Formats: sequence, structure tokens, C-alpha cells
Amino acid sequence: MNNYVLWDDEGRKILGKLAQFIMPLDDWLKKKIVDGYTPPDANDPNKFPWRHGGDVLSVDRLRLIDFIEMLARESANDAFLLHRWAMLEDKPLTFCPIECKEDWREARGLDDDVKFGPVLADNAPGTLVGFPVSRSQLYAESVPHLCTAARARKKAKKLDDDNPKHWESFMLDLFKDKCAEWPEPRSNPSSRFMIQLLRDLLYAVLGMRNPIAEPWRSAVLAEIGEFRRPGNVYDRADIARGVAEFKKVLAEKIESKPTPSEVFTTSEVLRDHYLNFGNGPEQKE
Amino acid sequence: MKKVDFVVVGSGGGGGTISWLLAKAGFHVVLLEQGNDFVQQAEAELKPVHAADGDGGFSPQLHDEYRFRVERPDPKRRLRGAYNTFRTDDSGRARPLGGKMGGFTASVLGGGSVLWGTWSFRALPIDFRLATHFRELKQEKLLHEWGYAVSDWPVKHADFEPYYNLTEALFGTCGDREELNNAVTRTTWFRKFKDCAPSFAGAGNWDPSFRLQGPPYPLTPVGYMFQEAMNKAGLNPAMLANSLISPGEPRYQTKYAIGRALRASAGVWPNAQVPKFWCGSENHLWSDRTRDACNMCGYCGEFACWGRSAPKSGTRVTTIRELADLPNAEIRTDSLVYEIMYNSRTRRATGVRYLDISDPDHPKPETLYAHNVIVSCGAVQSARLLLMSGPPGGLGNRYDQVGRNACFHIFGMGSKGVLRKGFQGKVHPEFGHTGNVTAFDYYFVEDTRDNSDTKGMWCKGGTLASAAKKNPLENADALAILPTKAAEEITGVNLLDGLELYARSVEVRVTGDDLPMPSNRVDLDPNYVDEYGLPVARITRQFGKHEVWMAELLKPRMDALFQPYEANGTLTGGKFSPGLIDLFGDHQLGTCRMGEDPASSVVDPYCRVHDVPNLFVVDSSFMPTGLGLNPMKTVVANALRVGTWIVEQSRSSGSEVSY
Repeated sequence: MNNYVLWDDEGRKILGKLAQFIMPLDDWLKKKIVDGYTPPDANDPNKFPWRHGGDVLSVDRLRLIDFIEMLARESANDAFLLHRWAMLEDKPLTFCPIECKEDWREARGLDDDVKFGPVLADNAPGTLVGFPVSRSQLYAESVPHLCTAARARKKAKKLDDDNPKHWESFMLDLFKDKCAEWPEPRSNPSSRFMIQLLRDLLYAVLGMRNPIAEPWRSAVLAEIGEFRRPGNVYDRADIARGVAEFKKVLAEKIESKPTPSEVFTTSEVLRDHYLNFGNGPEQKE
Repeated sequence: MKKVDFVVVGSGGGGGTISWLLAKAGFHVVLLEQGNDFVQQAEAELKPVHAADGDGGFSPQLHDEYRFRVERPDPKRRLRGAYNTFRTDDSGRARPLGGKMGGFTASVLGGGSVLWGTWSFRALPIDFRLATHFRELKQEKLLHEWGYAVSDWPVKHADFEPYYNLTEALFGTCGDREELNNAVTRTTWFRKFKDCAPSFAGAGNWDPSFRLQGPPYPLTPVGYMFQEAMNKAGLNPAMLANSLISPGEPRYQTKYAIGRALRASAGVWPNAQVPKFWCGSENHLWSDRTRDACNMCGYCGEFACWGRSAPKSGTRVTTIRELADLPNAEIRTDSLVYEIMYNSRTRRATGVRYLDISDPDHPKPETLYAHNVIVSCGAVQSARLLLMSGPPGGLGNRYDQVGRNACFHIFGMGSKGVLRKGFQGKVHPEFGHTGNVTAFDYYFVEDTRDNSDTKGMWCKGGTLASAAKKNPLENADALAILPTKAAEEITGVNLLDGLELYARSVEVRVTGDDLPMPSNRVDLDPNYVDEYGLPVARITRQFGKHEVWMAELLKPRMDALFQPYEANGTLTGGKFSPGLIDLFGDHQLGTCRMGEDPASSVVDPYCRVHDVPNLFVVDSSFMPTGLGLNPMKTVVANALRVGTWIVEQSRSSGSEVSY
């Protein structure tokens, strides 16, 4: 997977450490084993080795940073597209095929002030709408900043490798643009980089492209009870069995009605995200 | 100067269908599509990755949710650099429209019929007579005061009936006809209207008998829950009809299904006359090609269907596949049409100008001359193309009607809830496609509120459907922008716990009718242009009083569906949403409405532009009112109807076509 390395050891180490605090897979699993969801076949050490004393479920084991490095390499061509679009923002009619285009526009009552707007229309590569940047550019510019910030914090004894609170605080500050050690906070705020990192980590664990072998590739999907996998084939009997199991749970008598906080962990923000239309995908009819 | 008989612009439900019919009738047809053959390209690109698995080219790499749902630019939804602008009224400046769809149905060979979720409804007879119906209910004046221009269709539901039969055959639509008929005729509104609205029962056949092409899709857990909820609420649920090859069925032979449809239609052709095109045997109409049953892999909907031999129906795997076999037809992808050429002296279209964007960095201008032009780019882009063509006011726009009465369906109206933890892993949203159980009970809703000014009046609603939540990555990706506001809550173990919620989320939603308002329109944006310097479509649209009324009436009804499950703790936080503007895109309708009067419509009853007799518009923009259900089946049926009429009218067999 890693035939061309974009980041040096320091960059990879800091990215990996940060990813562990964004997504502490092993802590989550330990909590789940005590009082969380147990997937079917969880007793099978071949299917769920991380539950049976095998390798720990972690950012390292899932090779998430390698995966993100692969994504960054793949997106290198986006920079050319954005360059073309920057040119079109200056000269929007460059490729217009209409003869006498200015006259044509005038006859139709169109304005002289011509604009090119796919970036605002969320049809451009970027971390957030309105900030066009290719993934490769963003990492190329941000990982050195991340290293600079980490070095400065370490020097100030505020980022000890063995102190989880230090790293948690570093991660939160980066998300909130409150990391004083981050260079160029205005032109390239740390939050933009962190959002991309979080999106890519989610892609790595929920998407189906991470080239590591199964069962590790689908470990997080299996742990959350998502069974959709490439190549699935079902028949009517499978679905009837699924409905029968669902009905059984639906018919269970609940001793005490769960509170919203038990259902939604503790976050109002998270609750709204899952309940509002438009925050998630609405599939087509 | 070489001229083809027909150039068809756009390859979705309308264009992909009519191009086949006309080519099959012997005309020289060129089908232009601005997108590429996305499915073929993705398969070709990714097949080598999978070749080692020796699975006949069925590539699991095609199941890359990020690539097909999250990535921007979205290669299948809209061309790179393509966008629309949006504003809520005509006083303000429009801004580029964001959101996942951005006002586009699809930009691939097969159009929206590749990406759709296969929900297959016939329009109800009353949809063709809505103005008359509201007049009989004494509500027409009120709707007019609210700014609506509700209009009867200038054709009858009966005119569509044989074409609905044929569409269901072409698309292999599965379902239970009797159950669906009952779901309509047992509703409260049906029973009441039958007694009190004189022309209601005679609006068309409320009890079609043509058997669907296979048993309905099986009931899923989410479908079961809402079927039970609907029953508890006194509704009449039915299994959704879907245009896919019914799971577990033998290979589907379209040819024989067409034969069955023709035999079933013997008594229902308009004027009791079988059109020339449909007179012969099915052997002359369709090849021996067959299609596999759906394997319920769960990646359809917004994904293209990657099942072997394409069990999910759309034009790309039906009519366009047949079209490609015909020597007198040609399919050109990556062809971005920007002008319908027009001769003002003869008042006829003479062809199209387009850019060959197979290398999008180096667009090549091309010209194609044609005796007839058929436009089918989706309601937004078709209106844009007409306005970019012909005289400065646009083609067919003598009365300033092009682009008006744009409707988009209240597509996001519905409720979501999250089941308690005991349901983790039990919801199985991966079973098959998105929808499962439907109901027509809210197609019309009576206002029974004591304090309401509209008490006793009927609001036009839509179809209800259960929907599974199928895309965990896309949902999580949307969550990723939250930490800047609440980093402590959306990172760490909280983040991972949150991922579990999606797997036990459930949803029921309404495809709400969006009644036509002339002020809701598409025109050319005065400022913004696309990558090729062409003015983008500007959408002006606001919810009118009817849509607000619909939301008020449906909210308590949706709450009632969730209530039993909330009361016993099964489900938490059922939350109603009245729809979102960023869901523009799917189901765009009405910008070139059909009518007899050129002063209030754009196309005639055969979808021919009033002022330009050899120019047709056959996508969903022809609809005078927007239905309260998925319009795909009606678009395909209409394309068959219009194509059949053209063939009937043609007095010569291959060159100039006269009407």
C-alpha cells in the first residue's frame, strides 16, 4: 500500500497519535464489551480477533494513516482542476462557445458582471463549502504546521507522549482553532485540516476501500451492526429471518423506558444530527 | 448538409425511451447525453481490481460509498463545474445552490433512471383533473388567491393506461396490483370524494388490472415496523411497487412482458385503435436479452445498480441497450448541448449545437442538423436550454411561460427516530433498496382543526413510505463538520458511539405534492456561468401557503405513527421536518407545462412546443401539476405516448416528418 511516502516519521507519528484520540477504538471496544452491542459471531476468534486477545483494535492495526496517505496521493490531480477554476473565476467566459458572446448576453438581459461559482455550489474538492483545496494540498500544507505546533507544545512541556490529557487538549484546540502554536491560523486554520482528517478517518473505517485484509477492514462496521458488504447476496428467506428477529425485539417488554441520554449518549448535538432530515443522506426514490 | 431525423437531448426516462421507440420505427436517431456512461466507465476502470476473484466481472470495488455518495465534484450527479443558483423570491440576487444534489437529477447515460430508487407509482386519475377537482370542492378560488395555477392536464388518464402497462413491462415493475389498488380505494379521501365530487370517480381507471411483473419486494424490518404503525393508525399500507426484477424470480424476458402488456392493453387504447407501432409481435419490438433478478445487495438508490445484468431498471439497461443494437441509431455521450438551432423564417428547429467534452479540458464545438429536436434534460436544464436558444426571449417563450410553474416535491418531509439499544444489529437496512411499505392515505388530507380558517377543506399531500437508512459513511461524513462547534461531544468514544445510532435509525417520509405557482420558476442567471461560460439556471422558489398547510396537517399524523413506539420506549425523539431546500434535484417538474393554450403553457398535448412544431419536450417538465409520488413511470409512459403519436403522424418513413 505504501509505495510512495508523503510524510516523514515525525508527521506520521503525530498524525497517528492524533487519530488515536479522535477515534480511540480500543477504549470504545472495552466499553462495548462491558455494556454495549455484541455482534453476531463475536465469539468467533477468526471473525472478531480483537475481542479474543489478538491484535488490539487501533489506528495502527487498521493502518488508517497509510490509507489516508493513499487518498492524499490519489487526489493530486484535483489541484490542476482547482487551478483551472481559479483561472475561470478571473475569466469566466474563456471557454464560452457562443459567437459574439457579449452581444448574446446583452440581448438576453444578462449582466456584465460574470461569475463562476461551483465552489460555493459544493461542487468542488474541499474541506468545507467555499474553501476549495485538494486533499493532497491540504495535507502537504498542514502536516508541517501540525509538526511545528506539536514541537512547540512539547518544548513547553504541554504535549507529553505519555499524557493522554495533553493530547486530548491538543486535539480539541486544533478542532476549535485555539491552538496558539499553529502557524498561519488565518490563511490555513487548523480546523480545516482536522475536519479533513476526521472525514478521512471515517472513510477508512466505514468505507470499503481500506486495502487491509478482512476481518480488520470491516471491524468497525461489524462492531456497529452494519452488515452491508460488497458482494452481499440475499434471498427472501434471509429477509424473513431478519424480520422475525426484529419482531422478537419489538415484542420485548421494556422494564424501564430508556431516557434520551441513554439512547443518544450525552450529546444534544449528536441527537439533532441523527433526527433532522438533511443532516444525513436522504436516499432516492 | 446531412440531417438526421431526430436528435434527442438527454437520455433519462423521457429521452432514453423515446429515442428507442423512434429508432425502432425506422427513423435515424442520435441520442446526445452530456454525461458519460458512468456505469460502464466505473466497471471498466475497476474490473481489473476484481479480476483475480473470478466473479464474472462483478466488482465489489464498485461499492465505494465515498466515491459515489460523498466525493465532490460528484461525477454522476452533475458535471464538474455545473451548478444552479437559487433564491426564494424574485426580488433578491440568487446564490449558487449547494447541497448534495444542487438541483440536478443526474448527468450520466440513462439520467435519473440510473440513480433512482425504483419507487414505481402510476399517477392517480385525479392528478390529471386537479383543477376540476378543487373547483368541485370549492377550493379553486382559495388556491388562486394563494398564488397557485393549478391546471387540468389536457390529456386523460385513460390516454396513459396502455403506456403505463408497457412501462411496467419494460421496467419489470414488481408489486401486488390488487393490494396497491386497495391502498388507494380504501382511503378516507377516496370514499368521501366518490360521494361528493361529481367527476372524481370518472377521472380514470382507479382499479387497473394489468398484473405486475413479479411479487413485491419482501417486507424488511423497517417496512414491518411502519406497516404495523400504519395499521395501528388506521391507514392502508401496501408494499411499494418497484421497477426492478423481483428477487428470486427467473431471468426476466422483457420481450414476453411486452407481449403480455400489449394483450392486456387491447381494450384500453385511446379510440380503441391499436397504434401502428404496437401492432406487430413483440418479437419485432425487443431482442432476446434477459435480466437477472435483484440479489438484494443493498447498494442501489443513489448508487448505480451493480447487480449482474442490472436488475434495477432504467433506460440504460432497457431501451438504450436495445437502441445501441440498431444501425439507424447513434448514442453520443459527453455531449453538452447549449443551443437548439432555430430558423425564424420557417419557425422550425434545425438541429443543435453542442460541446464534445470527452476531454473536458478541451471542449470541441460540434453542430448536428436534424429534422426534429426532442429535449429531455430534466425540468431545470430543459427550461435553461430553451431559454438559451432561439430569439433573445428564448425558444417557445412568446408568452413568458418557459420555466414557470416549477415544482420540486416536498421531498424531505418526514420523521426520523432512533430505536433503543436492543435493536442494534436488528434493523438490517442493508436488505435491498431504500423504500418498502407505502400508503396513499395522506394523498389528500382534510383539515379538521376547530380553530382553522381552512377547516373542512382538503389539502393535497402525497404518498407515504418507509425508508431504510443505508449509507453510514455519508451520514458520518456530514457529522464531521460538527467538532468545530462541539469538539468534546463529537470526538473520542462519543464519536464511535454515535456511529451506532445510524444503524438503528428509522424513517418514514412523504413525497409531498408541490402545487404549481407561476412565480416559482427557472430562468437564466444574469451573472453566474458554468465551466463553459454558459449562463446557469436560476431557480426561484418558495413554499406557498399550501405547502405550509400540508406540513401543519401532516405533522400530527406523522407523530401518530411514531407515538406507540415512543410511548413504550422503543423509539426516541421522532422528529418531523417539513422539507429542505437543498434536496432540490430529484423530482423536478412543470417548467414546460402541457396545455392547449399557448398563453398559459409551453407544449401542446403531444409535448410539442407551441410555436415550434418540430420541437418536443418529453421529460417531467411537461407536467401541469406535480403529482404526489415518484414521477418516473409517468415520464416513461408519456415518452412512449408521444413517440407513438409521432410515428402515427409521420407521413413518410424516414426523412422529413410532417404533422
